[in-house]
Amino acid sequence: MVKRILVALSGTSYTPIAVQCAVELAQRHNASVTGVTVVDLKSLSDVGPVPLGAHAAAHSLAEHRLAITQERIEEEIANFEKACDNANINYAVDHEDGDPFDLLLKLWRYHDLTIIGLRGLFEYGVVHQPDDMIVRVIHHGVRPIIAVSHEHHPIKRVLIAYNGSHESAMAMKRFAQAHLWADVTVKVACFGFEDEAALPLLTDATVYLRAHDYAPETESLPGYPTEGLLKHSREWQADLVVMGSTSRRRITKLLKIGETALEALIHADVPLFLSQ
Amino acid sequence: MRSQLAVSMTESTASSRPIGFFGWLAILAGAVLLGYLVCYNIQHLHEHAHTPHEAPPLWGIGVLPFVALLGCIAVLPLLPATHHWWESNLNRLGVALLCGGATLVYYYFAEGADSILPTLNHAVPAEYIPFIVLLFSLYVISGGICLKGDLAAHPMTNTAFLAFGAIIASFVGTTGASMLLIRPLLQTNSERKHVVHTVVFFIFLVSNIGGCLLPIGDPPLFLGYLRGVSFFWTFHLWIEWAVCCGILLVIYLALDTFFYKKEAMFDLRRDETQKQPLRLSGMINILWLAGIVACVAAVSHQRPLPGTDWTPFPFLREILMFVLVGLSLVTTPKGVREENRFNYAAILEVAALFIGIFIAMQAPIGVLRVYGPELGLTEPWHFFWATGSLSSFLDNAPTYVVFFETARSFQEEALATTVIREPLLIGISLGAVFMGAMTYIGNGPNFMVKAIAEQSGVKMPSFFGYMFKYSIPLLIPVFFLITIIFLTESRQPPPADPARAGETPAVQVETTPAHDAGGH
Repeated sequence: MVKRILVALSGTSYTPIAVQCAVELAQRHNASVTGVTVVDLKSLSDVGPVPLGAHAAAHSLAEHRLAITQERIEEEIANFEKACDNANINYAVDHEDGDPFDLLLKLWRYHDLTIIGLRGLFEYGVVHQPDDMIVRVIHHGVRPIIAVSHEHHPIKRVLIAYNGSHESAMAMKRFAQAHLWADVTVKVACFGFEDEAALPLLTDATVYLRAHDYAPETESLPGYPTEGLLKHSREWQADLVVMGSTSRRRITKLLKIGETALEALIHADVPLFLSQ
Repeated sequence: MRSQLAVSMTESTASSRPIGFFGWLAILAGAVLLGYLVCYNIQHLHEHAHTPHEAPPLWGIGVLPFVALLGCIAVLPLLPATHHWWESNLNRLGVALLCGGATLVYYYFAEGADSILPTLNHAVPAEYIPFIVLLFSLYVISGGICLKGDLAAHPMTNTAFLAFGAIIASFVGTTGASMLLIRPLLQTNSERKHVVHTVVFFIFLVSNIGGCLLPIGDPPLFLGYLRGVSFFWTFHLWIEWAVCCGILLVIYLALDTFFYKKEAMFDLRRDETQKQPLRLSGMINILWLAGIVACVAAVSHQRPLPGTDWTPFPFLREILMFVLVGLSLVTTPKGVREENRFNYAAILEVAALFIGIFIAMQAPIGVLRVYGPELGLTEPWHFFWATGSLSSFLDNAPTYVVFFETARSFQEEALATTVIREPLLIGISLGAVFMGAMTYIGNGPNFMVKAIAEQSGVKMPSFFGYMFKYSIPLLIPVFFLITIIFLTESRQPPPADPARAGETPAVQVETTPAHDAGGH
């Protein structure tokens, strides 16, 4: 049951898709949407090391960044309000200053679902952020999250990455319980296991999903999730990938590789449903 | 929430706060002290101080204020606790004077009360005043010239822009050339998507490397001039300048041609249709800039005015520069400086910090004159890379002075005859000027150009992105080539006089008593 949706008005190219996704889900579930904008003054005023004689230029740059951020925020709010008005849904706008992670965590407490873009959190085209911001949001405890890609597709085919871990089970359960979309084709995929080991996992997952009115396909696939999940999501033409996320260190330790499957998917622009 | 944002913006404008009672009192006291030092300088013009043969006692303590000041300049703007506090020029001045004062206290205990006035005399009237007056004059006058326009951003046009900037940088200063050309260059490229490399090469060529042909091109070279290197000596660097600029321009042309082909047809069509011819306003300032060049080249109390027997009195050069600044302010058409977004903040910051740098620098200079040979720097390329490495991260003016004094101490007779080996001076000059391009903090205009580019919508690389994507892969190989061609001892040109074969060419440094007074 989703009744309150939080959408990050981040000022990136992902934001219109995030708003569209939030509005559609709000209409389907008769939910309200909160659009949040965040001005991260600390990162805006951080222009890096400044040489002697250039502090006036640094100050001017920081002021320019603030002005642009405010301008973009106003644009984002106007677009959000227009989209909500057109869809005739309840909405609110929350404009915050401070640390984006802390603020999202604070707001998440009173919302059922958070929708953000795959990359860039409250950038507003001014501050360049690392591509793994979404991983950091998850690690701060905000979940479940839908991370949208650049393009909007109706959600018809959902791929659930399941390996029997607590995290992947939580993600599957949250997805199944939320019933966000009706009439979706669901597939549960298990990566890197022998067939004998994968079979009981897939059987148990199927039983659970059937209890929540889904009729999933299942498949055991060889190889590391890092490569396999991304490849299979493309081949199967998934509109959404459901996966759990644990701390990066633990995943790295488990997989003995330097890059997590999650990061691979973020770089590849696959829409994600993430939980923990 | 909006009000909170407004507060933060107000906090960050600490540098523009009005000066309070104590601020004015400090300025008044400073002006009185400065006047006294100028009088002292004039009175003691012909007194020779002895050159040191041993370092002052406890010199390790003596160099601490200099190290501390450079550390403050590097660290205080980055610490959240001191970030805003450091934005006030009065606070910067306070730190600079504290470090300068600590140096004087050291001299008081190490060498007695009699050493304080000569130290101040050497640091302030002999070096700081000419240095800051030149920077101020170039800053104000070049700020009165505005170039506007939007050409078609073909690779050849951009290359010509950069080449022109590299030429004029020596005549109007790297800051003046950068501020004059960066906006029209960005305007010219505003329809293109791939602009970052153009801005980066602009920083390489116009904000740094271009400025090595005259002492007014880059502040460290002017410090060399103040220490007795002849005005036209830097012209000897034309071949290194030409080779370095030539290689970089060829690389840039190839790179820009590659990126031009990647631009969308729509953008290129827009670029071809949205053109405005270049228009220069404030042209009268070119005349005043020529006046500045003439002042620096010809007016010195160390020698007669060219073509006459008359030796100008001390500070005439600075007085004339002020007159030229006044003329610039009066004759520049209204609105030109506003179009350049001209203000005095940058030069005030430099003025506030450099007074401390010049005073605190006296102790390390005295030490280097004695221990310089023990540093292990012997070859021109040693000096090139040592000066350059430090100039990449610290201000290049004090770095130049430190290695200049090290080179001067290189042979015993150098102290007495005031001779510096020319190959070493070439290495120091090239290192200080060229390697300022290695980072955004290597030279003031680097960051100014970056800030203007970002405000025009160009996504400039981060501090490390600039280094690892651009300056290290592009500049280091070029500098290696410069080292191999020009800075290895075997490649040095032989002396013109066959009778002096085997001797290393040397630069005769004209020194005033004040310039010998560094070690007391």
